[in-house]
Amino acid sequence: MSEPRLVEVRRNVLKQNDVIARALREQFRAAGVFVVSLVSSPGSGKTTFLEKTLTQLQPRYRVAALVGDLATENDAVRLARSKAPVKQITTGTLCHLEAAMVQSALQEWELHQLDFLFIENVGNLVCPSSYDLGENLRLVLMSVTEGEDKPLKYPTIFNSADVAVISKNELADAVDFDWDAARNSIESVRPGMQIFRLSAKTGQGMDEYLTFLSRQLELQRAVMQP
Amino acid sequence: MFSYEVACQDTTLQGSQLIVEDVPVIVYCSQCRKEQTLESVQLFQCPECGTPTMDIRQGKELEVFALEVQE
Repeated sequence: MSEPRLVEVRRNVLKQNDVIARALREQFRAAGVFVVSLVSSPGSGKTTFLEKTLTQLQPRYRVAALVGDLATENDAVRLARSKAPVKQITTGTLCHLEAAMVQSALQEWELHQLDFLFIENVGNLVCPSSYDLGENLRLVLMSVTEGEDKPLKYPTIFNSADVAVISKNELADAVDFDWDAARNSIESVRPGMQIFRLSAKTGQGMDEYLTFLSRQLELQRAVMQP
Repeated sequence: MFSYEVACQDTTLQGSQLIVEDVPVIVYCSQCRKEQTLESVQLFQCPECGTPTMDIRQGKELEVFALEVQE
């Protein structure tokens, strides 16, 4: 037996995903569609929030959604009530979406006919943080019932996101939600992050967030002007 | 790591060892004008002056760095 030999590899394990995500981002840019991905723990209200988002954007914008779950088409059925085009991605045993799944789900879609595309990830605060989906904006949702220190427990997902939404605000008083503590937790793991506090159920706080989205689309299109 | 052992069973890699090396998170502090090592990923601020920072320079890598082989 010869002496052990060291072979340097230096290969990014997630390179394949990053390559596809980059292609998707370019595809989205060329089509002029603004893509928002949603991450959160299971049960934080992603689907209700997304249903309201789709419904309220619809009069002014062309919107669509992809929704990831391990099993069932329940979320796609719920979101279809908004009348927006919706497609379910069933991941089977996989706990997150990958760029290739998004790419294949979008194959038959005319992206240039859309203003906003929303991608609802599988409810999970761990694995989705490592997978770039080519989105323009990653939104992390946290409900008031989850505890103010959630960002400290799952710092990576909050750090990888661009904006935070505190959902189910109509329950804040009932669960003694400490807004300052939650804000400090987020600020600690993701300094400068914009936070929206809202209730998808009552509609409180939705306007500010929807205005923010419209502004993001305008900014993206302004950059694209020749 | 349990999953690594299972994946290597009945392959040429059976009995091999997986060594995971953690690298610290390094950020750039605009106040101190230098790179600083974070003490905790729960606190994205300069350990010296306390300025919040999101300018991450190292720590997001997930790489197969090298193989040590013997023929």
